Amino acid sequence: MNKKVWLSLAMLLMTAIVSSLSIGRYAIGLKEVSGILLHAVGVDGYFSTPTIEMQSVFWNIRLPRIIMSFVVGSGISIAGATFQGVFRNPLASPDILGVTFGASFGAALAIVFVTQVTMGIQGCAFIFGILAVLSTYFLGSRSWDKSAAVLVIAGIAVSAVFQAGLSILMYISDPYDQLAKIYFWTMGSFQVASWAKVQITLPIVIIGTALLCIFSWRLNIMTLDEEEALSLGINIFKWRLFYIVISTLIVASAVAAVGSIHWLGLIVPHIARYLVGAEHKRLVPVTAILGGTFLVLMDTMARSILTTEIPISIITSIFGAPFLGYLIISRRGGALEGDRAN
Amino acid sequence: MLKKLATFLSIVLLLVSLTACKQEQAALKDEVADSKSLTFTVTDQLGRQVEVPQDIQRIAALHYLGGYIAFALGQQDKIVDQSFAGKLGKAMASVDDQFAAKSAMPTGSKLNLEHMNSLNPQVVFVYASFDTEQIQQIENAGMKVIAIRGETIEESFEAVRLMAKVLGCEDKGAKYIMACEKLLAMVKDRVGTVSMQQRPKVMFAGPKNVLTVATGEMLQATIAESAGAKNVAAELKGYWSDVSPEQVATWNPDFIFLSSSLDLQDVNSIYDNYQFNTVKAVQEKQVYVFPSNVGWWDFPAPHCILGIVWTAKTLYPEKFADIDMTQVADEFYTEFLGHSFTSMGGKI
Repeated sequence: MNKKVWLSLAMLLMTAIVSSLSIGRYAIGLKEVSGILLHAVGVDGYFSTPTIEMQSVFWNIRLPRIIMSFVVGSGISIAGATFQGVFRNPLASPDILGVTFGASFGAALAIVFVTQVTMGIQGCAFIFGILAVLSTYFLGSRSWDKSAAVLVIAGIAVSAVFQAGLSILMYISDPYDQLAKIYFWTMGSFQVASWAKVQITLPIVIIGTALLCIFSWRLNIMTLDEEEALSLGINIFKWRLFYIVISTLIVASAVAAVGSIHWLGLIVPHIARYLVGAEHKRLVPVTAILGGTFLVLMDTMARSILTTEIPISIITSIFGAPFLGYLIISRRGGALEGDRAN
Repeated sequence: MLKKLATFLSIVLLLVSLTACKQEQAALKDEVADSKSLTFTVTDQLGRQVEVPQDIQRIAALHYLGGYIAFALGQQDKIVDQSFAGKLGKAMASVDDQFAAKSAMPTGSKLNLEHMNSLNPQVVFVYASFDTEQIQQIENAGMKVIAIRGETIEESFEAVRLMAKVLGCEDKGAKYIMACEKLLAMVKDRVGTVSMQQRPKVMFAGPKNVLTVATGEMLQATIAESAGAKNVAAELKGYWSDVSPEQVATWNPDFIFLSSSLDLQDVNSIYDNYQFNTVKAVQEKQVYVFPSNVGWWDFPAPHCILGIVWTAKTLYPEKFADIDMTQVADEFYTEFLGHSFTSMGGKI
């Protein structure tokens, strides 16, 4: 991979870090942020000493939110890249495979019938996320038609079932208590990001991402037929299940923490593939960095442009989809298949 | 001879039946004429001209506002459905057997037109945000629909006047409005002199979470202003809006009211949330669950006057030291809801 790409990625990441730290509705600019960071390590005098309020807003509101958006952005994007590899399908993503709606349904089910505690909601989101993706996989694999479209159609069918389930839960839920909470899952937001949520979500996403990065080379094997893989002594079914479980766990924990973030899991891996090619060993870590950076930038806009919050999924779609469109028309060849492995 | 008699009788019978038929037709014509004269036309709060019967015995109220006003006008016996849902509905059902026996009628997409038709209301009161297609459907089914609205105090008074006119009890409507105006004037007397600079900043939160705030166009803004406060989100337009915790820190409200469904939330969860620890209302423990536990006082209805009195007393306790909120609520509820606030399980 060429150095230019790494340099661009590093610059993008730096831009995201600096802008997200120094932009927000509370007047804490770059100077103040520098003052706060230096004050935290015991160095004062270079910048005006930050007020206690500024420090509190920075450490308790802005920073956990930035970390949360990076973690969720990385997690969802890496899950998308993994799903695309596992299913050998450029259209596979948590949205398309039914994971997002499955997890949202699970979260709503927990809210209405079981618990309103985050851990419980997260667990339930995971169970139904897995159930959704396995249903999609089962339906797709049972079809005589082996084209890429079958999996997408199976995903649409599974999503529809969970969407209907979600609607039923919304219908029967207490409109003055549970319903508002369920609405939250259908429209993601980092508004409620806190250290407590970071503590629960971060380990799951870090461990999951690390496992996917470590075993990313195995994803290349997924492009082989089952017989071909067996001839190499690899149980492709076990590996497929491994990737599905880890990716779903990441998506479910993200959905449980901040609600559904749409399109990210589909768009970011494609952008990454344009940059570094389809070789998963490079693709997976680049997707993680790119997804995190992208979502941090998008969330900075969501929380800063207006007095009110702009729903994050609107911004990810507005910026992500045209960018992907631009890449599609600006590059030649079967880029969606990721044939720029270099 | 017999044959002649039979023919005669047949002719007489025919003549009698023809006469009777004519009489019936005449009577029918009279009824139509009467029924025409027994209707009158009103303009509802959507600006629609609605022709309603003069003697209305059966009504449906598909929104709290209609229910509140019907009770206040003493017309509750005419309501065919449970005009209140949620905690107000539960509280009312616990003290009012007649109410409890009535059928619940969910609105919006849950409205079952055939079920409503089976209850046979002559006039249906809906909120002005009700789907216009559904209004048409109800009217097609033979019922008259009147839309009412109460996003401001004046609008809810207008709704009272309209319902009172339709139900033929305008004197009771005037009495209800007068009682509300009296409470409003009492509050204005005490807080009207407070300068804008001295007025505390308040934030109304709900219904999703504490970061969903009432804008400057909502009833909560009127409640805040009438009670001598400034709504921090006055510049925002529209309905409930989501804001970031940083925005709340920037606004730094002196008081936070958890309204709407947030009344289920414990104020301690706000005090314990370190995202708000720079906010004055949290530092000074001035976060309150908006009353009441038996029906919201920040809901579009003249009842929100009680919310204004309560807010003013909370913001300026020394100016309202002589006001016993429970007593005020008890008197108001007894007069205009048929049961006292405390008997319904209400607590301040």
